[in-house]
Amino acid sequence: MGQSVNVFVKKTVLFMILAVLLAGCSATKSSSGNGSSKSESGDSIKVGLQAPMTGDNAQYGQDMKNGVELAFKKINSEGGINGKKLKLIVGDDKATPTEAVAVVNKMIMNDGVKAIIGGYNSSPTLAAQDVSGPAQVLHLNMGASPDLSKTGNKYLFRVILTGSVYVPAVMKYMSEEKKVKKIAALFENTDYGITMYEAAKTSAKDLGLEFAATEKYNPGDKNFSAQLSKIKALNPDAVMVVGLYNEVALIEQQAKQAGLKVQFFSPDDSMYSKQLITLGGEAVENHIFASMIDLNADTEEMKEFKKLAEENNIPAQANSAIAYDAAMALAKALEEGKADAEKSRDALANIDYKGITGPIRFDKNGDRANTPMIMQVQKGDFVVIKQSE
Amino acid sequence: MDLTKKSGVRKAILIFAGIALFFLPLGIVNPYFMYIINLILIYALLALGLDLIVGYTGQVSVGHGAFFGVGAYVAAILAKNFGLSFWLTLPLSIVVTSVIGFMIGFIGLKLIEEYLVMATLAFGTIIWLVFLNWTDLTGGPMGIAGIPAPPTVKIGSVEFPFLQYHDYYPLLLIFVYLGILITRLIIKSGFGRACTAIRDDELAAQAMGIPVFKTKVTMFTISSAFCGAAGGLYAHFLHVVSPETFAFGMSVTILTMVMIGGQGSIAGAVIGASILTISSEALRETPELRMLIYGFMIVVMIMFFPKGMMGVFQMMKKRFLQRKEQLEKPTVEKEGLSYE
Repeated sequence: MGQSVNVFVKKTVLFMILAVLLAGCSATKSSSGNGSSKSESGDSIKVGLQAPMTGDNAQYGQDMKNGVELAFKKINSEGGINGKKLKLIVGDDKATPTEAVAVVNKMIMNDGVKAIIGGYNSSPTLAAQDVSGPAQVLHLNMGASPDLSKTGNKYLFRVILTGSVYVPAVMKYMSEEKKVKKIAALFENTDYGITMYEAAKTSAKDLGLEFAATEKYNPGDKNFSAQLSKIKALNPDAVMVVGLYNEVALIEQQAKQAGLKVQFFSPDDSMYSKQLITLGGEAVENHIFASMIDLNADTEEMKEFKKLAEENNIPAQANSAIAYDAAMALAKALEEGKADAEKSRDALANIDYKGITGPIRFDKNGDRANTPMIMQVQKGDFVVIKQSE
Repeated sequence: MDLTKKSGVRKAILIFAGIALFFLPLGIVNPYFMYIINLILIYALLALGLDLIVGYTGQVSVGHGAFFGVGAYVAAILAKNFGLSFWLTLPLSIVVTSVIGFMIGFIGLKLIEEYLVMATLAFGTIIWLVFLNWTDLTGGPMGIAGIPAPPTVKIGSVEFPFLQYHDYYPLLLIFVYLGILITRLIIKSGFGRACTAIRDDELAAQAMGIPVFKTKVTMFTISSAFCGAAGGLYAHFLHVVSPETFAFGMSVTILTMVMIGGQGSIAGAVIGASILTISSEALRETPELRMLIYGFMIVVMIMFFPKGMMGVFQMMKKRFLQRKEQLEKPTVEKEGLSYE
């Protein structure tokens, strides 16, 4: 009897600890809930980051977070926006649509963010903008899908160049400079992969090129031998890979093992990360792709960004630079619009800001408009082989 | 006499509390909290459904996340591709999920214990892979977005449109009440008692003349129908479905809700759904540590409270009654003495 009482007491105490833990969690939440009303009159403006912080795409999310944090640090140290400091709320969308909706809901309704930077991936961004649009929250995304231009959501802006600009540029280069005729396509089976492939097919037709094979894979796949052996049998001049760095690195390593020795290229810069070279090593040498940014560029903006990155001990990644640009442009718009939803939107729509990634201007669909440069992996570094026009 | 009166009072309180719950949105301003409460209601329906087969029939399934997904995808596809309204997609998703549940139950329930777990795991994974790879129908990894909200409900001249999260609450609450009602009716019926008999001793139940296999399959089908309903509601509530939601993790989450709440208990299912949903949302503040803390909490709960929250409550109630008895005993004796 005495023993059972003892056990009971122990269990109760443990339960109490858990209950306190739970209560603690909900307490922090409700306090930030009250913060939503505070942020409007208080001394800070909250901005959300919707990005993959865990899972296969965590590196991209981390890069974006680094970039935005650098920009906010710079802005806040210079006095903030009309005297108000910028505060970053990070939300993990796990690169999935449902999580993106959940986390954007939370950031808008509970934290009271004025704007959201992110969506790295297209599908989560498409789902999330359904929430942020009606709530009149500025949404500066990095998705590649052309559908993001057709949403009709006037609070949605895209801070990267899109496939409709990248694809023709790369295809033209491959055709004119590399004299490629027969191409095999290997792309991830997502919104992004399929639309990039469709765009490449259209531009190949214009250039008189032929797509010999169309192989797909799912994000997160580790073995591509089936697709690669099919491609090898067709003997193409080049292989177009549409995917993110982890898969691209694996694909090219496995291609090398399979004896597939052709030019690999990608229509955009989704694999433009040091991680590609770390993971892919020798195998990714000579990989060609289009990019909107050159991290070795000799411009004032780039130098400043690199200095800031070095001071804060953050790697100067492409995605960080783009996110940094997005945050700077957003800050400028919020300053002009005095953090008012409607006015800030108009300010962002008419912005003309010189960033690291060139002049930031938006067309009527909220897309950027300047041509990309063509880059190549050479001796473990990224080199510009054709400047933007 | 006293007992019936007591249970009558209890019933009245329960009904009153049930009606009072409909007015909960009036006290909640933050729509995010409303969103979480709505999610809890959907998960509660799922946990109730799984509890029917796990808690009352004693058959463990780790494939119910897939049934949830079937319901959600059926509703999403019918609404998006065929333009059907919510009031048609929901019954249809329940029917389709039940049929698939029946088929899987019919094959799987011939197996026992760990073999059944393996079988449901396999079926769940197969269904998830179909969501992921049948791109033409399910949209592949990007899922289906832009699922329309239920049409405006008109009662007389009063209109109830579904615009905000507040608007979904009464609808979801009605479905949870329906779920509770059906669960109660089932477990109080002869069929329900047959199920608990199977749970407690399958061989004995068979010896008593209970058609064990038939009973199990029927219960499995009903259980999957619950998940189908939850899936249909989920699709129209969140307006987006994508395959990773319905992967193995979801099946485990629902099972954990049942375990943490307490198996074979209606209140347990609701409590389990609440605890897991709230803690998962609360931990969004620390995205990197979220799954770690969440996992740790579940391990602690399962290790120290294997009977779930309802087990804890029952233990407390028992202790309370014992203590009361101990306290009352001497006073009765004293009274007796004073009368002498």
